[in-house]
Amino acid sequence: MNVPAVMANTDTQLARDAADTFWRDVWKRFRRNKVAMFCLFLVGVIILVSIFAKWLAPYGYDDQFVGGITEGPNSKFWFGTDNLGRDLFSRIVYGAQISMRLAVLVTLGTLLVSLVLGTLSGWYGGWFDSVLMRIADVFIATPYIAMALAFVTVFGRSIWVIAVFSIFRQFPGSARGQRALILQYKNADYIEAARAAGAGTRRILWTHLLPNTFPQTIAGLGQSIGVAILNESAYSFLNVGFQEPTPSWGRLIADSRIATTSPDLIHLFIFPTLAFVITITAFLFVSEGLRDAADPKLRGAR
Amino acid sequence: MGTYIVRRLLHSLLVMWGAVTFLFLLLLIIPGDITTQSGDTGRAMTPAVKKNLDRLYGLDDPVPIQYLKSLRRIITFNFGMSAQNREISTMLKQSFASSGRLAFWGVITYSVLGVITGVYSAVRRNGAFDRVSGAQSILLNAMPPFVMGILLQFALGVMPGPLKWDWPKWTHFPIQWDLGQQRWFGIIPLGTTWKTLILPVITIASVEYAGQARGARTVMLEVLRADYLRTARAKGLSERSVLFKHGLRNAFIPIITSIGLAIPNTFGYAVLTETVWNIPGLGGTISQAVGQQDSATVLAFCSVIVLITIVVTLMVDLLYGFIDPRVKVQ
Repeated sequence: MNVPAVMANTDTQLARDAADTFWRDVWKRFRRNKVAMFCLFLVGVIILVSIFAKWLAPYGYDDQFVGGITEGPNSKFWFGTDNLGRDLFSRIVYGAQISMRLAVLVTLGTLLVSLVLGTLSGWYGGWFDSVLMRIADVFIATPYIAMALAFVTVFGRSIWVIAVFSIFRQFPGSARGQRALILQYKNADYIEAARAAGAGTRRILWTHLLPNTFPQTIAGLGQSIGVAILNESAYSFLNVGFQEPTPSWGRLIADSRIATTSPDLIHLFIFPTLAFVITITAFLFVSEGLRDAADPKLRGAR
Repeated sequence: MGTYIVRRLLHSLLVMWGAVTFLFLLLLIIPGDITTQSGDTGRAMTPAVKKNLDRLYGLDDPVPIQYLKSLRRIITFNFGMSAQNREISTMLKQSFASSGRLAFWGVITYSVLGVITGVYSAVRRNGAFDRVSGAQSILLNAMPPFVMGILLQFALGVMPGPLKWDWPKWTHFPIQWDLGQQRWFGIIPLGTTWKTLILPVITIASVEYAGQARGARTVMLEVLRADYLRTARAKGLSERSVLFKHGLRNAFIPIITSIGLAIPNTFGYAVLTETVWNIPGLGGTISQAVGQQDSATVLAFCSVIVLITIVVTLMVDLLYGFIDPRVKVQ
């Protein structure tokens, strides 16, 4: 663009100010939502727990106590011990770390892939769009159990492998969402105006189009973390996820099936499930609160 | 409309081909092949035996030929034999019978109950029912099917002392999925078969029930705010006629769409439900087949799943045009 340098500077400055005000408004509206604020607090706690798991957990996640096999909750083992004499509280704390680590990896990967594919697909349209969307369809249609099993057989069960096939499973949905957003905004008047003013594709995308989709993207992050934790639990349950003794939450819940034959073991099910359900719900509410705050028009929409 | 269907079908074929190719490649890069997984593991396989097995499973062909042969088997529905020397088409029939019945009743349950719950909470907005069902949806949304399954097994089975609940006798459902005891007429359970079905169906339906209830509520709230509903009230129609004829009919279009979008997920839920309730079905068969690197079986099962998914989505789309005539015009 042929504008004097000074003017371009004020231009970006103005944009930055506008963005500042926007996020300040979002925060103001978000703060009024008591449920969302409480869930934000919970999310903060969960993140802190997962970062400081090493110092918070009283024992190691695979320390076995011969004297304390399948004990109920007591002062020594707060959440009791499992059938191998491992402290359940420590396992849940380490589980938070593992589940969150995976969820963050998956969410960032999904975000990157779906932002790039969704934006390009929506912006360029045509055969490019068709091809990308068909690829997304292939990943939606492929039964995930076959895909996951093949992946872990070939590449092992490291967190990276699990993250990769989780991304394969999650990106088609969010790429489609991003594409829909781009389609919605790309014919807006301000895009037309930007183009008339001589802005190039890159500038239109970065400074006009993407910032408008940004609130939804941010809100999608929280949801994606919840979905990633849910998916991980399903993989662990179907034995294509983390392996013993790694205490991911899904692994803990899956292992608690042995308890369905004996009432003494019910704590093995209750505590991991509570941690799991609370975490997912908290992330969901924060993301819903954020979306409502960013775009009050969408309130109540799912 | 005709060209639309043809185009959709072509797209679907493309997607199916993509999925089959993707899986073929994945199975190809797993070290070893079907012959390393079958037979007595204690003894070393002589080259002659290996050669025979290779010929039996078509492994002596170059990879592209194997690939084309797999495609031919799928296109002609002539799937051949599995690693355990069973007709794959028989295995398909058996697995899809049990998973399909489960999935069918799951879909029926969550659609019907979800829509009723959602619509009723919207009509009585902020009432007691709305609040309870809202909280319940949130909870169910965060509980994958197997958590629901384990929870049911606890609640009806082994709750410890103080929490132990004396359930009335009619709720004593069998926890075993005994195919020998079951009698079916197509997809309709006969006799007491419904008793073995009910807990797995609750398990498979719980997550989507929550989603559908929330979705239906949102849609219905929007419809209730619409101008045409005010008009209907203004011209003096009875409340029932306003709600059912004018409200619900319009709400049904997005509701059907969201149910249709949820159906492909149901196979995923079915796999989890089958595992938690020990039901022999798709999930078990597929994971066994992948474990044995039995690519013929894996590809057969996956292509049928993909096919069903595609047909269902297409049907939902057509139904959409049927309910909302405006769609046909486009």
